[in-house]
Amino acid sequence: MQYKDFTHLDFIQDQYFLDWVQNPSMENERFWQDWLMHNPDKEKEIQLAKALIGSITYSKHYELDERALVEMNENIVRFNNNHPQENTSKGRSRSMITRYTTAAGFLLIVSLASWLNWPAAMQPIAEPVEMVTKFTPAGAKMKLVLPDGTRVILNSQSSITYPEQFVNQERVVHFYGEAFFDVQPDPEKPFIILTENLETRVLGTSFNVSAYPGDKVNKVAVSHGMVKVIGQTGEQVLLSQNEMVILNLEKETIRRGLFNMIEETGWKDGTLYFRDVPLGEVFLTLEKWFDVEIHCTEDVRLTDIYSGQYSNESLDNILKGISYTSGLVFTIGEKNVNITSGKEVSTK
Amino acid sequence: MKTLRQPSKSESAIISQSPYLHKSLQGELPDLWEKFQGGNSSALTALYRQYVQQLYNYGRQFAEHAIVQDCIQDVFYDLIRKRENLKSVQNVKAFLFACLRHRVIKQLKKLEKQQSNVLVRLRGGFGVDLVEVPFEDREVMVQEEIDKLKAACNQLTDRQREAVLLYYYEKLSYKELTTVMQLGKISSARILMHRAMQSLRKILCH
Repeated sequence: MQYKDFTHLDFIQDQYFLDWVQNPSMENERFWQDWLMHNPDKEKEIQLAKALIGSITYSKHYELDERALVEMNENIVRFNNNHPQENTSKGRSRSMITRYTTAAGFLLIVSLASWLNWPAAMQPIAEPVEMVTKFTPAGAKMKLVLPDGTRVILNSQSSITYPEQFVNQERVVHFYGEAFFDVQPDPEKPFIILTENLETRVLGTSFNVSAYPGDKVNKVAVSHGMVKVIGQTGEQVLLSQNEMVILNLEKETIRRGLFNMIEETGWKDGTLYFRDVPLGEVFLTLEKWFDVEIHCTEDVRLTDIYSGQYSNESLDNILKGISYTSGLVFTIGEKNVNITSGKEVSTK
Repeated sequence: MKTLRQPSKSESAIISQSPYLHKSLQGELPDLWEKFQGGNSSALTALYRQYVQQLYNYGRQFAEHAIVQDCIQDVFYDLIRKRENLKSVQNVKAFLFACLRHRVIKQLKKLEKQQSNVLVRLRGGFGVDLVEVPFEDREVMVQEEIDKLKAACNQLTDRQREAVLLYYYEKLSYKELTTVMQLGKISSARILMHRAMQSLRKILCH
């Protein structure tokens, strides 16, 4: 039988036809368009076959709810942590296993407990408590312990405000900038971080929040446990280990993604990590990190993309690294850096 | 000289699409599997997120919620345990479907043996539906024709309906279909589909 004798049922059985519908390529597109030109009377059969292929579906669709999804992910990640790669040495892998087992077991209990104790509405009750505010200037980082034992590492130019004692039903802190939180578990009192656009509710333990004023993008990245993030319009995202949420304030989107641990939380150990970042953004980060002002000439292309990783390096070394790949010329002053493109300056 | 404190409009536009944002998972799929084999736990979570709903929907055609959830978890545990030996996996989705199907059916058999008077296997799984797709010529596919074909599809056997859905909806190839449904030879998959189509024709002609 030839294509010109085909009915729609023949077409949907034909591998080459199906390929065209499901994986169109230059080649099959050309063939079928050409064939249709020569067989215009077959247009109807072709359309019908295409429609049929696209319309076949399950009569019953089943979906796991968000809670089951997160619970399973937790179990799988925990199982993975208990099964490290075989090629690690035996003694080392054993100690890793015990370490992870205790940590993970603990985390699981905490997260389940927080779930069970999740009350419908718990409004913070206003009480006259002294508020404490900590602020880090550019170039500085600060480690602090909150009254409940929660450990916070503040990145530069960040601020956190918290009560001297957490007396309310919820542990609420106000915050902007970037910080790594290692929250003291307390299923009775949820830990809540309020930033300009996000409310982050902690169900597990440690995670990173990045929400500088004026930033177009806010991020929460979870390294352990569970975190619930609530946007301004009430949309909620439940995050578990290895997941992050990215709030884009311009596009007003909130989406889930994965993250690179060094990229997002490396700063707390003194690591600067740039992956395909525009130079303009690299310089802004360096300004905050080293408390310098960076000036550059018009011909420096701030949109050029840069990648690099620096652990506890001086500004001098980092700039040397950047100039090595970009050809830019840096002059470092006391509190400022001047950057030129390194090309001949025109007389104009 | 200009200072960087206030980036110009065009610059801030670029900064707002900062590549700091992790690229979407889909974009990274090709090497996810290798990353997972290399022990990257983010890749494991990404794989899980990518396939869990598809797996769940497929599994639920056979069995009830609790069984499917347990089996999916076991499939991922197996992946982790055997990750070094999975070098030859070509289509991750087909592989995961095959693993899940195997586990679910094994579990169903076990349960049926234990409690022979209780029916655990779901009846009427793999129901076929035809959704209306927007296409240029509305007259081509009239509702009557859709209904007729839908009814015909649902008169096929369980296995034929499963094959139809895996082939057309899940977009598996004959080779992958062979793996998932444990048919042994590719020719068996072809025959299964061919029989399904023959039955469809027969039903439609009457």
